[in-house]
Parts: sequence; C-alpha cells; structure tokens
Amino acid sequence: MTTPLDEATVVAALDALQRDLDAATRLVESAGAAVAREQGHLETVADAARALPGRGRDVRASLGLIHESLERAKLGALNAGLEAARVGEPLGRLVMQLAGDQRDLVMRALDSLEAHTALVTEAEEERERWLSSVANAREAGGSAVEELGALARRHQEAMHSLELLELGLEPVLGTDPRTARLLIGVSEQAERLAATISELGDDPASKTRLDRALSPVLKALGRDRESG
Amino acid sequence: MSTRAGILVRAGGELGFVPADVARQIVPLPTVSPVASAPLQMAVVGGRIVPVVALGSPTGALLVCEVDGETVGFSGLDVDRVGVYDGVDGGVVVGDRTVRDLELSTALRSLEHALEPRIGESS
Repeated sequence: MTTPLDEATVVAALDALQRDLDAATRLVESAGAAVAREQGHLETVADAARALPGRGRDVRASLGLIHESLERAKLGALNAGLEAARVGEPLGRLVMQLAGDQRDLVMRALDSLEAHTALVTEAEEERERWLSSVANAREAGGSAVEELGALARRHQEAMHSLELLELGLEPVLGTDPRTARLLIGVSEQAERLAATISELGDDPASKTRLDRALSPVLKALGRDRESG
Repeated sequence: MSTRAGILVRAGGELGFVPADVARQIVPLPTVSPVASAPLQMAVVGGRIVPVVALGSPTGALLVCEVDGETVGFSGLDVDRVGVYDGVDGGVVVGDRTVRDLELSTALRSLEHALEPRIGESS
C-alpha cells in the first residue's frame, strides 16, 4: 500500500528526470552548434586549400618560364664562348672568360631554381596531406552532427515518454502531480520543523514557548481537517 | 705543349671534347623527326634541314657541328663548358685528367654504314 508521500516521491523522481533530460538536451544543442561552427571553419579552410592547386600551377608555370629563359641564357653564354674560342688569342680568351663567368652565374641560378621547384613540390605534397586531413575532419564532423541529431531526437522521444508516464501514473497513484508536488513541499518543511524541535531538546522553558507558538497553528490545522 | 679551344660535353655520363673548329653552335633541341626505316633523324636548324645523330637520351640541347664538310646535329649531349685547354694526343687536359676527343666522325660513319644496305635495296 503506497502512502501519498510515496506517490510524491515518484513524482519528484519524474521531475528530476525531466530536469536532467532538459539539461542533456541543452548540452546536445550546444554541442551541435559548436560542431556546426567547426564545420564552417573547416569549409573555409577547405575552400582555401582548393584554391591552392591553381596557384601552385601558376607558380610552376612561372618557374618553367624562368627555367627555359635560364637555359637559353646558358646556351647563349656557351655559344659566345664558342665564338670567342674560334677568334683565338688575345681577344677571344677575354670574351671566353666573360662568357664562362656568365655561364657559371646562369648555372647557379638554375641550381637555385631547382631548389625552388623542389620546395614547390614539397608544398604541394603538404597541401595534399592537408586536403586529406580536412576531408577526414569534415567527414568526422558530418558524422558527429548526424549522431547529435539522432541524440536530440532520442531526447525528444524520452521527454514525450516522460509526459505519457506522468499522465499514466496519475490514475495509478490516485494523486495528480500538482498535489504530489505540494505534498513534497509540505513533507520537506515538516522534516525541517521536526529537526528544529529535536534540537530544542528537553528544555522546559523552550518547550513552553514552543507550545505557545504552535498552538494557533495546530488549532487552524484542526479546523481545516474538520471542515475538509 | 699546344693549347686547344673547344667545348666539353657529356655523352652517356662520359666527358668528351669537341674542338671549336668542329662545334658550330649549341641550340635548344628542336623537333626531331625520325627518318623511316633508318637510324637517322632530321631537324630544322636555322632554316636548314640537318641530319641528327643521337649519342644518348635526349637533352634540351642540340650541338651543331661541321664534320667532314657536313653540318650535323648531335643530340643526347649535356654541354658542360667552353674553354682553352692544354692539348694532348687525341684529347685535352682538364684539371688533372685527360678528356678524349668525341669521335663524331666515327659516329657519323657508323650511321652511314647502317644506311648503306637500305640504299642498296632501294636501287
């Protein structure tokens, strides 16, 4: 046989469950918003990364032109040296020396260009790794959004089930939830009152003062009970 | 010791010497067309058609030479540098090593030998 207090305890447990579900729903919504923000950031990064191959091609095209020009300059220097070699001493040797110096400068430029091209290749490989990471992160983000959505739907279903449970409990318990909640309030206050009276102990003076203080309240309660 | 002016080239990893009176010019490798059924290629250099002998894998340059009165292009060469070097029999001294003359005439003659049976068949 359940007492009204038992019924009130059940309703209180339902209230606590509802509060927990509300809090969980807010957390899920907050997490969903955070994931959506991160998805937005990832989109920005992905857009920037997608633009990189085009720029990389432009850089490569420029490097190709520079390489071609340097190769032509090298051939020019070699041909000048060849002509000078045919001219012979002493003018030819001087021109040949100049052409040799020119060719050495061009060769240094070509070496440097080769290093630049290697750096561009490294950057392109790095970019591919980025793109792959961004794609993975986007995929993971999409899954997280889907899972959060499923979680939110489960919460809604749980909330609905809770409402149905509360409605279903009312005829079983014979107490409507509002009365049960009032009963909980009363019982909690009664517990605190009992604890305070217990603290007063056996002091006769205090007891007398307490009797006087409680007498009007008890009389009022008695009248309410008789009239009820 | 006499000096010799010329050009140092690499053919198949080996350094060789081409005298300045043989080497005419170095040009960017033009489009080289094979001649059907012959180990010979042709290219247009400075508006003239010249035979091209491949001495190695194609590089970006073609060395145009005057060999036995013929203008011939040699591909597959990396041109290293031009200079005046101490001459020795059949080559030059570069640093502490001897670099042999590149046997361009021999290469050209071997090509002509390869062409001979074809010429005989067609006549």
